[in-house]
Amino acid sequence: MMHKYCLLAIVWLVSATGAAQTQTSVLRVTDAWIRAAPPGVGVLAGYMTMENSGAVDVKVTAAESPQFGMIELHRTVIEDDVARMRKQAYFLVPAGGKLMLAPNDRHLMLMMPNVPLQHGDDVTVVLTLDNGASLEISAPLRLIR
Amino acid sequence: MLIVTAVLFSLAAGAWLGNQVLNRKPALDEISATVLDPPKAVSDFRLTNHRDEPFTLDSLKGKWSFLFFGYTHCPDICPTTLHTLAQMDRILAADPDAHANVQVVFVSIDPRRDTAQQLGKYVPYFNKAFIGVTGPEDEINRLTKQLGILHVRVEQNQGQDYLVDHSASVLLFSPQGALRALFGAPHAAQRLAADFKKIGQLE
Repeated sequence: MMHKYCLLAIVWLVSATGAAQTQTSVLRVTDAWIRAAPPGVGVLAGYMTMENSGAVDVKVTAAESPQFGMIELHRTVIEDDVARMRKQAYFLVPAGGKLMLAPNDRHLMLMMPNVPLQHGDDVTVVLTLDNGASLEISAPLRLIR
Repeated sequence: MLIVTAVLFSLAAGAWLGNQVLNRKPALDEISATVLDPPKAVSDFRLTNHRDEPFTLDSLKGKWSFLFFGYTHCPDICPTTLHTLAQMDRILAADPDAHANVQVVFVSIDPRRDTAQQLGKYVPYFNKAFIGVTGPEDEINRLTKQLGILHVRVEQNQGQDYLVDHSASVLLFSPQGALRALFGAPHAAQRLAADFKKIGQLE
């Protein structure tokens, strides 16, 4: 029970400070990368692994980047060999579990780049969580993970 | 005892015969792709490649052609598949003679936005030899309908933008310009290359 209160306190602390608190947040993001695309392409996909060390589920409800006009949460589903991409209201990272954003599956859809980006550049993405906290991550542009 | 020996002998003979057959031609169930036997003939179409040159049924003749249908505003599955095809191409390049006989073609199912110029910037990024193809919507449809390739526009953000749902298969055409095999998604470079080599042995 005590443990639960500690976690709640951490979440409260993160939400109170608002900005990135990667050290104290219950949500940890690793292996973040964005698929490098040819010059002129205005839509890119971002992938990562999200781990939730907390005792409550965490939802990622939005994402933004100073380098892009808009980011949406999407999922590609291949059904009867037809690929459908659908906007998601949130990505749920279960308590004590993880969620992968991966090619041909869930991903961030990054649109309207403000600056020309190329292979090797780092993109800053701020994830908004349903507990009021946010998490800033850095994702390099690569051809493959 | 005699019966057991006879059974064992016939089993061994069966296995030997089976192997002889396999040595000549791979069985279709060894290939994960769906092989069309006989290959499906396709009627002509008039499209344009990313160098603004005509791309027709004749362009599929004389080489094995891998076709993938997608669009440049597709951030996930299209670059993922083109990257996988580029990896496959590197595997096939280990055999230069066979490799010289292969081409990879990306056909846009979003010709409103994918001009030849746009494809010229996009497709060679993944591999300089890959060919981007676009054209009038009715000519794209003339090709996709024959091949069972689906593509449906889906409006986003109150109609300001759209995505396209589309078939994720990679199609293989024989050097006679007929549809020979379909590879279902998700794709893996090793499997595409291995299947392709086996399909080549069927000819």
